[in-house]
Amino acid sequence: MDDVVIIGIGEYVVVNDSTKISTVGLGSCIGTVIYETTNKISALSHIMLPTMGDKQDRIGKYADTALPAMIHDMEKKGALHGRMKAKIAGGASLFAFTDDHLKIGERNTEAVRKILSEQKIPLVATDVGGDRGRTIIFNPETCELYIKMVKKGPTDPSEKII
Amino acid sequence: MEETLLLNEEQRDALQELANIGAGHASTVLSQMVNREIRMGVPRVDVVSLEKTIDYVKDEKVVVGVYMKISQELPSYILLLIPRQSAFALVDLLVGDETYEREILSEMDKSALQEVSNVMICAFFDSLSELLGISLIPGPPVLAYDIPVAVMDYVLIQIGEVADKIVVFNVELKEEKKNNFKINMFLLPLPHSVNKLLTKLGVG
Repeated sequence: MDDVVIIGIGEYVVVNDSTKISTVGLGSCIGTVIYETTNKISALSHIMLPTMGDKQDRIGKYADTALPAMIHDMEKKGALHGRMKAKIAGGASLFAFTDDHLKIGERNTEAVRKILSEQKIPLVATDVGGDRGRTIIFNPETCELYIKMVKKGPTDPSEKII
Repeated sequence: MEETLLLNEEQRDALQELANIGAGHASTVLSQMVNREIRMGVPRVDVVSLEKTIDYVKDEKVVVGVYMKISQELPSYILLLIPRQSAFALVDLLVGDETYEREILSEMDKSALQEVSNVMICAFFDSLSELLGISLIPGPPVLAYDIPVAVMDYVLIQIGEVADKIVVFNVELKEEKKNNFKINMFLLPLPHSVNKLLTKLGVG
């Protein structure tokens, strides 16, 4: 059996072998995969909110603290910043709102995009928005991100690969 | 920004009792609506970090989540999580068609579930209003059908903007004789609402 490391909300993980990395149930949260194939180092984060602000909290929960820390950990394991690539999934709006001006899923997506662009890491594939939650599994061997969703309508696809 | 949430035993008991009464009312109206006996589990009041809230529901694969928000006097979220098979069983009871093999929820099924949840949640808050002498008016119910973590994260994110720990009140309502459905009820008050509740209950 293939090994899979599953992370929860507000966590991130870095692997330097072919262990698959996964997170379950991204709703408005974002799963960010960053990988570097030359040294075969891959990482996944599951953030909840765009910025930590002046709070003292777990860095993994916020895009602006989780991603730089994760990238730094990758570099410590020998990954080359200039060869990193990213894929993201999540940022959905599961509830149909009439009074929702917060659009937290979109705000999270924007925050992650901004940080990746500041870090000059190309975002090569995305699967964001919509009204369905996502469970994702990244395979460092193939660099494919497998996405699973709940079937809500008769024609909904329940999985895809980006 | 940081608010510490620590409950002593007396406070925990008071909150538990309050939520118990609310859940009792919700359970009664549910029982009337579906004409079945409903058994209420032992309510739990816990102070947990946001991400740990997920542990309550991680065993379920797909759920219907309905939540309503209380603004004004006691900002809180109330969330009902109904496991997929329970939701189907409940819809069969409500819509009265038990022969149809369901695989997805139609728009009508969803509005039926939304309405039941609405009535239950209103019963919950009506009893609290009366008990505490404050007016608690819930906003419209909103529904999602998805993986439990994904359903909960929206609510957790809202709370996450102001706190990293929350008081979770959780109770399970079950019908075990025929259709065998269960509903998980969560009351998630924002931290300053917890203090207000405790003051109102005389244990602040």
